[in-house]
Amino acid sequence: MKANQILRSITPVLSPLFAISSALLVGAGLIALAGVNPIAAYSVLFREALANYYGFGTTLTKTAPLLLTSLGVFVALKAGQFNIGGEGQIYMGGLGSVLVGLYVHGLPALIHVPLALLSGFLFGAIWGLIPGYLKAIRGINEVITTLLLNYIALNLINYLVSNPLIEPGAPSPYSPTIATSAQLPIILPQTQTHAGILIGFAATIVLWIVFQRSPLGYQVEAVGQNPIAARYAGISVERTIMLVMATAGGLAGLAGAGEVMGLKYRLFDQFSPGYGFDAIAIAFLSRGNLVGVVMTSLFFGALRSGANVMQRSAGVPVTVVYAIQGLAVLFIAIGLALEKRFAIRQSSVITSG
Amino acid sequence: MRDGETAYLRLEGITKRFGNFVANDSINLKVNAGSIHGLLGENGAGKTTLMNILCGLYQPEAGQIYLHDRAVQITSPKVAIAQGIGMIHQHFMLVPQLTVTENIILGSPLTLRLNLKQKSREILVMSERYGLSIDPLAKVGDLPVGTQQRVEILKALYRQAKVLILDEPTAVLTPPEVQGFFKVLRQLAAANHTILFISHKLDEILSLCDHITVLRRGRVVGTMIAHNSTRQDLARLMVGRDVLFHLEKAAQSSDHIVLEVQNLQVRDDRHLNAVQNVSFTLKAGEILGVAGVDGNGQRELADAIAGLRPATAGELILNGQIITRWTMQQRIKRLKIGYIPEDRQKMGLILRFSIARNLILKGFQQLPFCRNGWLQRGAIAHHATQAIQSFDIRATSGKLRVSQLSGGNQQKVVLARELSGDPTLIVAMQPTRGLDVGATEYVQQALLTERQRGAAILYISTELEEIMMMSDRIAVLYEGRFVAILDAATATVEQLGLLMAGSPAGRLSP
Amino acid sequence: MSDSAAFLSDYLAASLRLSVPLAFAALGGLFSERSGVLNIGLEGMLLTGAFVSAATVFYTGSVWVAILAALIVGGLVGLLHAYLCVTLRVDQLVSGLAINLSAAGLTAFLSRLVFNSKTSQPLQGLDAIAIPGLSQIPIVGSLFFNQDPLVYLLLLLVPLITYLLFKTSLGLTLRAVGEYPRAAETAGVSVLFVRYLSVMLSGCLASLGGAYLVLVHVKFFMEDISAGKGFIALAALIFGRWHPISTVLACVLFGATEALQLRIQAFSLNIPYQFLVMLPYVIALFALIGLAGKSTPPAALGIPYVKESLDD
Repeated sequence: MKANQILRSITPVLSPLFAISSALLVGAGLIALAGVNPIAAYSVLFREALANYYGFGTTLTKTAPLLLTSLGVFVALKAGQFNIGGEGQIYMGGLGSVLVGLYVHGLPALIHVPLALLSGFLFGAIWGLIPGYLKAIRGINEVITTLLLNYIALNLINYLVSNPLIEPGAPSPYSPTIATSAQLPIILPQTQTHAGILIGFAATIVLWIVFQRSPLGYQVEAVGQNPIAARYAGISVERTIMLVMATAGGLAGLAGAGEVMGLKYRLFDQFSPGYGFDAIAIAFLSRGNLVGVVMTSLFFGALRSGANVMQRSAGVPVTVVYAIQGLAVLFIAIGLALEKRFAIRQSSVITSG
Repeated sequence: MRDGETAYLRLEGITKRFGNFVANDSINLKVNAGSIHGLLGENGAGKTTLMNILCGLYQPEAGQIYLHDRAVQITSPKVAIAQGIGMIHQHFMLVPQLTVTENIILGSPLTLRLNLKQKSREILVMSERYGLSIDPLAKVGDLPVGTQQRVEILKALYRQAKVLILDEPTAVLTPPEVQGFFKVLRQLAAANHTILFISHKLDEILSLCDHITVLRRGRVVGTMIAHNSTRQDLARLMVGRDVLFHLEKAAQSSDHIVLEVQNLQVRDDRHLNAVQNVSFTLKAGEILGVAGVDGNGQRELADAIAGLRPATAGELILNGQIITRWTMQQRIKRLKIGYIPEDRQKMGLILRFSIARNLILKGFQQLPFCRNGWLQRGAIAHHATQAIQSFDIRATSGKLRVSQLSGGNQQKVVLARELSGDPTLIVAMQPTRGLDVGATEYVQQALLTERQRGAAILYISTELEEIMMMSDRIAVLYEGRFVAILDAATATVEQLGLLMAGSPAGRLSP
Repeated sequence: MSDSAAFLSDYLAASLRLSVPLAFAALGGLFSERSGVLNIGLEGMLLTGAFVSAATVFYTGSVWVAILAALIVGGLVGLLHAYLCVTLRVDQLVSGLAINLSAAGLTAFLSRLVFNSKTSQPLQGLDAIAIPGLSQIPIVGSLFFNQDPLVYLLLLLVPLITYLLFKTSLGLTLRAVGEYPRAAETAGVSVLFVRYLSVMLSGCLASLGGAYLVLVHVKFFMEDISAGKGFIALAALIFGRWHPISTVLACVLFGATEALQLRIQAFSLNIPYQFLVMLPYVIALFALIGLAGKSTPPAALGIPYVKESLDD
C-alpha cells in the first residue's frame, strides 16, 4: 500500500525523466548516424551549457523566452486549453515592446522598461485573446486558430520590419535600435544574459501563488477539470477561458519583449527559433507541475545553448536537438497513457454499477 | 420450471470480476423458450454485467452458457448475434445521425452496394408483422423515444434473434405505453422467442413475467414463479431486509410561500419551447414532486430556477423578491438555493478534486473560504471534516479524491455542499438515480429533514413510486406544461400515469 | 482576348496544383476523423512524406519508388498515431502534436545528413501526362487533362471516396464508428480495427500530399517545407463539413489564394507580398469563424473508445 503511494507520487517526476532519457538515447543514435561519437558529443553539449560560465550564461539567456512561453502554455493547459500559438504571441510581444522602445521618448529607464514590457504583454495578450474568444464564445477549436495566427503574425512582423520599421540602409529586415532607456540590464557580467530570466522566475512565483492560494487559480482548475460542473456552480466558463488565453498570450508576449529588449535591442525578422513550439513540449513534459516547467525549460535552454558548440566542435547538426525534443514529447505522451492504465488497475474504485 | 422441459437458455456458475470487485458470483439461470423471465435487482446488483456477458461485451472468469443444451462461448457481440442473442439496451445503441434502416442493417455482412431501398421495404414488412410500426427512412435522432425503442427491438429481430434481452426498457415509457409494450412482448413470447426482462420495478416484473430470478450483490438469492410471489417477498429478497414502502411524514403546516413561478417559459438547446406557461407556488416545508417522462421539460425547468438558463417569459419570485433576471452568480451569492443535478459525476462534482475542494465549489469566492482574496485552507479543511461527519460520508479525510468514492458517497458530497447552509429552496433533479437502496434511503431522509426544517423542495423524478412517497403535492409535467397539480395523498398511479401520457382526464384548465 | 484566357487557364491550373497537397492531406484527415480520431498530426505526416519521397528519389532516381516509400512510411506514422490514440488512449491532440514535433525535428536533422550541400540541385520529378484529344479543350482541357498522374489520382479519389462513404456498407460502418462507436460495437463491428485502418490510411494520404509537394511542385526538400499546409487541410475539413467533395473544394479555394499570391504582380497592385502569403491562413481563419456552430463534426470525434467499462 505504502509502496504504491510512493510510486504514485514520484511518477510525475519519473516519467518525464524517463521520456527525456529515452529521447536522448534515440538522439545518441542519430548523432552516431551523423558519424560522430555520441558520448563525446553529449559531453561537449552539457559541459559547455552548464559547467562553463559563459555557456551557462547562454543557457540562461535561451531559457528566459522558453520559460515565459511555457508558463503561458501551462496556464492555458490548466483550463483545458491548448495554446499552440506561442510562436505568434512571441512575435506580437516583440512588436509591442519595440514600438514603445522606438517611439516613446524622454522617459527614465525605471518607467520606460516596465512600459515596454507591458506593451509586449498586451500585444501578446491580444493575440491570445482572439483564439480565446473564438473558443469561449463561438466554440471554435483553439488548436487550429492559434496555429493559423502563428503564420499570420510571422508574416505581419516580416512585413513591418521590411518596410515601415526597417532600419534605413539595413541589408536584411530589422528595426532600428530601441532607446537605451528601454533596454533590459545585463545580470551576468561579460555575458549576454539579461534580466529576462528574472522576469521568468518572477512570473513562475506569481503563478505558483495564484494556483496554490487564490480563488482564481481554483476557478481555472475547476474549468479545466470539469467545465460542466463549474458552470453548474456558477463559474463563468467563457470568461475563464478568455482570461486564461489572454494571460498565456501575454506571457509569451513577455518572452518576445525580453528577446527584443534584452538580447538584440532590435526587432529582427524571424527572431524566434521555434521557442513557441518548444514551449508546448516543455509544458507537456512538466506534467502540470511548475517546478517541472522551470527544470525542463532549463534543460531545453541547455540543449540549445550547447548545440551550437556541439555543431562547431563535434560537427553534429544543431537540428538533432529539435529531433530530441520532438521525441521527448512523443515518449511522454506514451508514458502518460501507460500511467493512466496502471493507475486504473491499482486504485480500489468502488462504483455502483 | 417443469421437469423434463429443457431450458433454451441456461447459465451455470457465471462469475465476473472487475479487479477486486465481484460483479457476478456463480450465477445459475434457466429460461424456457416461449417464456418471459424477469431478472430483478437493485442498482449495482449485477444485472447489467450479466447481460453484457450474454451479449458478448464482457467475458466471464468462470462458468458456462448453454443454448439449447449446447455449450457456447460468446466472445464478442458478433458471436452473440450469430447465436441468436439480441440485446435491447437501456441506453439505445442507435446512431442518431443515421436512418432507421441504416441502423438496423449496421454490422450485417459487408456488401458493396447498400441497396437501401430494398432493405427499407423489407424492414417495413417486418415491422408490420411484429406490430412495431416505424418509418424506415426517418433519422433516428428525430424519432421520439418510444419509437426508438421499437427500432432497437427490430434490430434484434432483423438478425433472427431467438433470445431477447431487455434492460430496463420501461424507463422511457409512460404507464399506458408500458401496457402496449407488454402486449408486444407477450406476442413475441407466444412466437416462441425467449425473453429476459431486467428491471428494478417490482410491479412490472410481477405483472409481465412468468418466472423471476432475484439478484443481490452479484448473487442469485431466489428464483420464483411470478404468480406465487408478492411485492413484499421480492422486495425482501432484493434488499435483504424489509423495505418500507411508505415514509413517515409529518403533515406540512406552514403557509409561507417561498417560491412563486408565474407563466414561466424556457427554451431548450434547440431553441424550442421546453417549458410553456408553467405557474405554481411552493410553500416552506413542502415538497412539490414533478412527475413526468424524461424529456418533457424537467431539465429546463430546474435550470431556469437555478439560474442556468434564462426565462424567455414569466416571473420567478423567491420570498417576495423578483429574481427572474438575476444571473446565476447573483443567485449563488445572495440567495440560498440548493441544486442537486441529475448526473452527479458530470454536473455536480469535479472527480479529480478532493472532497474538501468539491465542497467549496460554489463558495470559494466568499467568506469563510476566501478572505481578502486568499483561500483559507484551515477553514476549508475544517468544513470538510464537519461535512464528512454530519453527512456520514465514508471517507477517511477531506483530502481524498471524490473519484475514489462510491456513487452513494459521491451523492452525499453533493448533498453536503447543497444542503449545508440551510437553503430556503432546494431543487432536486433525479437525486436517487443510480444509487443502491441504502444510499437512496439516506438521500430521501436528508431531504425530508430539510422539509422538516422548513425548506421548500422541488423534487423532480421519473420514478413515480418515489414521487408519490416523498411529495406533499404532485405536479405532472407533459410537453412543458403542468397538466395537473394533485394532492399526493389522494393521487393514484393510474391517474398520474394517464396525465404523464398527456391524457386530458383530470387536467388543469388551460 | 486569348491573353486573359491563357492567364485564367494558367491561374486555374496553378490553383489546382497548389491545392493537391492540401487535398490529399484533407482526405486523409477525413478518414481519420470520420472514424472518430482527431488527426492534428497531418502536418507531420505531410512533412514526413515530403522528406521520405525526396530522400528516396535522391538515392534511387525513381519517382515511383519514392511515392511508394512515402506511402509506406506515411502508413507507419499513421500506425503510430493509431496506436497512441486507439490502444493507449493518449489524448488525441497530444499525440498529433507529438507527431508534428517529432517529424519536424527528425526531418530537419535527417535532411541535413542526406542532402547536405546539394540542396540547390533539383530532384527528379513527375511530369505532366496529357490525355490526347481531351487536353485540347480550351481552359478545361489543360486544367483536367494535362496534369501529372497524382492529380488524376486525386480526381478519381474524390468521387470514389464519396461513393464509398455513403453508398457502401464499409462507409456506413465507418460513419457509425465515428458517431456512436458503442452502438457499432454491439452490432458486431470492431471499432478498434476500423479506427486503426482509418488512421493508417490518413497517414498514407497525407504523406502522399507531401510527396506531391516535393516531386511535382518544388522539386527539392527543405526544413518546414509544409509551412502549415497540414493545418490548412484541417480547416478545409471543417469548412467542408467532413464531406469529401466540399472538403476538396475548400482546398481548391485555399490553393487559389496561394496561387493569387504568386501572380499578384500581373495585377500591378501595390500589396506587399507578405500579406498575400498571409492570405490563405487568414481566409482559413475566417472560414472557421463564419462556419462556427454550423459545421458539426462526427459525434465521437476526439473521445477515446473504451471497450470494457464499469459504467454502462
